[in-house]
Amino acid sequence: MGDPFAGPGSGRSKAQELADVINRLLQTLVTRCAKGEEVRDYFEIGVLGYGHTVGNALQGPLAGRDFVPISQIAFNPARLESRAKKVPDGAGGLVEQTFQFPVWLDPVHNGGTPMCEAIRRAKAAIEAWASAHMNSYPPTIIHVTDGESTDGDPSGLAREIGLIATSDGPACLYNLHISSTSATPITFPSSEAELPDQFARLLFGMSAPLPEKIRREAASEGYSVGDGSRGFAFNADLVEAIRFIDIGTRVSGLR
Amino acid sequence: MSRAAVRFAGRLAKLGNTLDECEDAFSSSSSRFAVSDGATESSYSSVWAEILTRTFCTVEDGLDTPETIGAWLEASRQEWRVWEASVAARENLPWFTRDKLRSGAFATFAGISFRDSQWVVFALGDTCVFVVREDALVHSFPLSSGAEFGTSPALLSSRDDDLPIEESSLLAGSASRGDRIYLTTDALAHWFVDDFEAGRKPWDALDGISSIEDLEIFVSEERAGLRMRNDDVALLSLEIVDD
Repeated sequence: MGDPFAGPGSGRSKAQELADVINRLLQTLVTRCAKGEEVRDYFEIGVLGYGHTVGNALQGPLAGRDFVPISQIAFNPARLESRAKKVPDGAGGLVEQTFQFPVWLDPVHNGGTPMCEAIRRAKAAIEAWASAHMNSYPPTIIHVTDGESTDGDPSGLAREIGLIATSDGPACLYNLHISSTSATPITFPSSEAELPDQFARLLFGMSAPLPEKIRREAASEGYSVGDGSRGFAFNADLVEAIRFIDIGTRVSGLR
Repeated sequence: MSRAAVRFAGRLAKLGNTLDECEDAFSSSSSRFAVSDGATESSYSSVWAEILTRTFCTVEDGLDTPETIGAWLEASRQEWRVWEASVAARENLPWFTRDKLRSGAFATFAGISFRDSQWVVFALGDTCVFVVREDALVHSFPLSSGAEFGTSPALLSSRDDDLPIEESSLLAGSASRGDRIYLTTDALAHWFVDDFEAGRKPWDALDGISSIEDLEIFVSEERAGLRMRNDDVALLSLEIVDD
């Protein structure tokens, strides 16, 4: 994908990898909603970060905001970074082009992984949002983590998320585990059988089954998915993480 | 000698959008007719659809072989690149506009090119050409059943791509006086094929459309009855007449 944020083995810290995933996720969603110089507000987005504390994670002009329409995300990155890249010039050579990369989050190096507290906060946020938007597509929580919980087992909370609903169906919790090892990513598994350890099985158990529409999108992207496939990816690198999130958010038929 | 006369040419935006937002385009000349549907997901796809239909109808060389179609496409892409460069040169362009512009624009396409009483159609995606002779459907191209209409049609890209034009994207035929030929984008094309598969004659309804108001009334009714998807609509109706 020609990303300036290098892949596995790049020596980047896990915190940086996590920030990269979120920044690229937001970039993907904005681009999808963009039409000319406008952005259609198909989504409202909230970003919670957790480490030493749990709190709203967007930086820059959007700092402290709970849910923000995607157009405001588009127009308010904390900053735009410029990177020069060599691209084909159409005549067999290469030409240097400047690309702008929006940054909404910087890595925060924190101790601890209070996963229960974070999921509890996210659940409360989507519960309030769902009751104010009963005719919308149900909220989706994408939980991105690089390690195990340090404040207990969040499985019960995960189940409760499935009880929150709009007229269109139940809220979904997807789990994306980021790893900077070279282990093969496992994406959209339908059973625990292929999973390497207890941690993976825990996250699998917490992950909602993929709605049919998203299953079809995953299949059209080459994933082998079945009825029991869940919104879960284990050992994902940056490229795989973006694919996972892109597919998991194709809710409106807008590709 | 015969020629193709335009009986109707028009387009409507999807219900809820203004005509500005319509991403279907059509164009015609004395011997060329074309319709195109810009993909909603790409930016400026209406610009690409307009370039494709206009250049198809005005390019001088023939358009009846994969090679000549390829040359026309390259000329269209060159025009797109010039336009794109003028947009990209603006300093205050939002970062996401620049990003999306770089991904290129996409569109489905169907065009028919006449030479004497022979014609050749080039089509890609779910924009279709229907040929009716003596009250019977003789061609439905490139799609001929409702099941073939999906959400991911083949698309012509404004970027260079290596895929060669296939013979299967071309259809040749001959024109007889009285033939009716309809070029339509996917919502209307799908409606046409569904109606035909149900044993009816969809061309009767299309022959009754001679103004934009007629098209609006017809499309509103079919959308309300859930027989036609709410989407942009473009229709070019031709009749083969004596010269």
